[in-house]
Amino acid sequence: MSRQKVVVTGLGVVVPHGDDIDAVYQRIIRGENECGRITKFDPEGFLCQIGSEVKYEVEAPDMVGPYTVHNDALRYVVGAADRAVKYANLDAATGDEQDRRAIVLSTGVGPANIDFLGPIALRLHGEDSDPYTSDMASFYAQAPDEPEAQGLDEFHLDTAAPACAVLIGAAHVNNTASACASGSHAVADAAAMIARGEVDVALAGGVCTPVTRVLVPGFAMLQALSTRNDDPEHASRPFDAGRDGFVMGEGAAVLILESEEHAKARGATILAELAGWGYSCDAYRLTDPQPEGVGMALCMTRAIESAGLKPEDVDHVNAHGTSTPYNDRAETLAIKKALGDHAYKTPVSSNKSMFGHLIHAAGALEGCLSVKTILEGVIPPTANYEEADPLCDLDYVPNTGRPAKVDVILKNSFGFGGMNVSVVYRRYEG
Amino acid sequence: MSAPRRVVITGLGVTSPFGVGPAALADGLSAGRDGFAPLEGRLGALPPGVGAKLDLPRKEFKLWFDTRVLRLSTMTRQTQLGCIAAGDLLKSLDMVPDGSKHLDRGAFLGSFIVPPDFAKQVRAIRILSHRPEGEETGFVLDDGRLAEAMKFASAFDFLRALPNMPSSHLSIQTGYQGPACTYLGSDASGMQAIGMAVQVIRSGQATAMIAGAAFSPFQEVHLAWQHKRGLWNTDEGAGGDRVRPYSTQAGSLPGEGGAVFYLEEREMAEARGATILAEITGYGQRMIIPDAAGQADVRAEALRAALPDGTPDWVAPSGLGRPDMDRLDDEAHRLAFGAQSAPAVVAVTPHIGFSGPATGPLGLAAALLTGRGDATPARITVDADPGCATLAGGLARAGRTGAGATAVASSFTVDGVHAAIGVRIEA
Repeated sequence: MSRQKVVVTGLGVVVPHGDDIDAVYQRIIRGENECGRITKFDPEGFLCQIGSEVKYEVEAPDMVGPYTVHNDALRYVVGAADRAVKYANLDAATGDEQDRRAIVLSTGVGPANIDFLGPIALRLHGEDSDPYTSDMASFYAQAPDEPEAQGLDEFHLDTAAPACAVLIGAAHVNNTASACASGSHAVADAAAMIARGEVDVALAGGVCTPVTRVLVPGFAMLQALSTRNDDPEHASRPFDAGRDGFVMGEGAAVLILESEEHAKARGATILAELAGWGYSCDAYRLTDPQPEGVGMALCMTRAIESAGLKPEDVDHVNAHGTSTPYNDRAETLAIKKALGDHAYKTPVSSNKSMFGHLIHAAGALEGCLSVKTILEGVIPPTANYEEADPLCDLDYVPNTGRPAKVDVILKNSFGFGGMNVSVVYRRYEG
Repeated sequence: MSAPRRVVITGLGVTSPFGVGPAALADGLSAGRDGFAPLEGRLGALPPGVGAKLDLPRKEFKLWFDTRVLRLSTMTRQTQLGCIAAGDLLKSLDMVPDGSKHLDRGAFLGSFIVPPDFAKQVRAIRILSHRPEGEETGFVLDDGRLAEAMKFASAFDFLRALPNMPSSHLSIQTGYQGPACTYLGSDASGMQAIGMAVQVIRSGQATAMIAGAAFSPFQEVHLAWQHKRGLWNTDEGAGGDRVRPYSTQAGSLPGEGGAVFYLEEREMAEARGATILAEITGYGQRMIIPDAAGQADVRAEALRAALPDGTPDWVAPSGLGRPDMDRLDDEAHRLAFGAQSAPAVVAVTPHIGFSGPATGPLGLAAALLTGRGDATPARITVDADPGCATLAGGLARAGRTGAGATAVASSFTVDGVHAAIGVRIEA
């Protein structure tokens, strides 16, 4: 079965470092950090009090077609999609052409439910009522037109993909969920659809707004988050011996993917080739990666083979690099398994050291930065790298961006539940 | 350009209100039974007050999967239903997991995010929210009481709520190390999971996939949300004939369940001497903005993509029971397969209710069983909605069965995402 070549023609982000991907990349290669004490609520008393937040006013349309952009998550993803579409200079398709376009998004969970259920709780019961006899669901059912009932829609974020579909005129939508690998999963699924000839254009990426009253303590309970509360800027420190967990980040990132033929035909500027992708599952445990990195290595190898490349062709690994003790050790082992001796010659860096972990959006944001790395020739650093971990013994590009000609980048994304996705970005040679 | 790999179905696992296994579903449909009963407690106080649940004591779970490996405390109800269906499937194929890993097999499930424990949320919210002093409206969340509120939650509450958990558990259960993903976002996501699995095999990324969906709507907020979307029949009565899609009677009832399929590359299935139940003829998926022009045309495109050649002997439409959706469903089938086509209809919703993303795969399972002659669903005569004459009439008709018979199952959703799968029955 022949395969269409897939290229990247647009990038769009709304992330803690900003909403202009070119400016965001410049900040990243300078090692600038956006992790800090949480400001969206008072985290005093919480095990983890650190987050990476979007602290600026996000410009996004209030409505897209019939869909209201009514919460942060929708504003971020619609804003990112809008920027990517403009970056790609792509018009919305009409008529039959819509059947040749797709949206693949990782949207996960919307705003923390406490935020939207709170008003209902108060409205119905007041603060002195018995917490065991709530009838809020009855309220939803009986008063569906009340503004508060919109909260039900917010939880699901179902309108994110359809709203993006309006922006580019797409007739196909998919929502992927593979935990922290979801963003890359969406990119890989979209690329596969183009490669198989099902569509010509896809908008792929993810959005996540996890810096909430519910999810921060929730992930802290899973012992996944850093508790370096007195030094939040240095909390995310992938591969460093002192790492103790990741920092929750929020935002959205999307890429515009096209078949090479379609991009050329419309005169688009091709930024990079999306040359290959691989999936795997550890099939091991829900919370821990397989300690030898077997599943991770498998998906890296599959991605490299899918691109028609050899391990020694990889110039740089944009790591998943969460800053958790288990992940970074397993990923290091996996890179060595997948690349062999070439692993020791390959710069590996984790962008999460500067903006934390954007969960469902992470793979797409780091994919955007990978494309910029190929175009601009500076490998982003792993910030906060101070003390080597004997079990993490690769070149992690510590603290300073490194100029280099980079033709092939292996982008890793791994998630809770052992779900793994790797994507290969390659310099486009017309 | 070489032809894509052909994909066949060689196994089927089912959980439904009729019990575990395809035979239980076949028996229930053939006998014309329904699984509805009054809901109890808090759920019973909400509309519609009736639903179809699977009664399964926790101790029975170990019949279908290793509860030492897959901990019940880390699973939502829908994850449990999916893993039981998969366990049933693997037993039927004599592929009971033995700890082996399988590099070239994967698992895709469709599901829906449901807040896992409403009661706990309520307790937390009560602690946090209060009126601003001196105000009669509005609310504030007292972050100073966050730590106290969070005492009502445990790490497992968060773990099991992660949206990818259904397919993660399934991969761990089976030892499958190929692609794994949970597809979300609409009531069509079960059919999307099957369709994506078909594409993965066709393109050579896996040789076999377990794919389908599992879902349980029995959670307060979800029931209320679906009520807000106009899905439930709130008439009085125990159940029975309260679900009659394509008729003058509107509304459905909630039901839970799951259906998963073992999909294989044909060559591999033949090489191992597998019994091939059916071949996939196609997968169609389209999205259209609700209220935009061309609603039926877009749905018809999805149906045609599922069965590009010919007309189906059986269709398993979504059977939502919402009049506007039912009429679109009917029009789309006429547009896709011709106004003269008169397919027989297999509808699961009158028997086991509407189970969101699992409804499509359960319909496909029913159509597969029916097309093969393993089930003979009782025919239903309804007072047809004039706009639904084709599908209403199909409820009373029987179609061809046996090798060569074709079926198309579809999920046509309120949110505008539509997906369809077509199959051709094998001997």
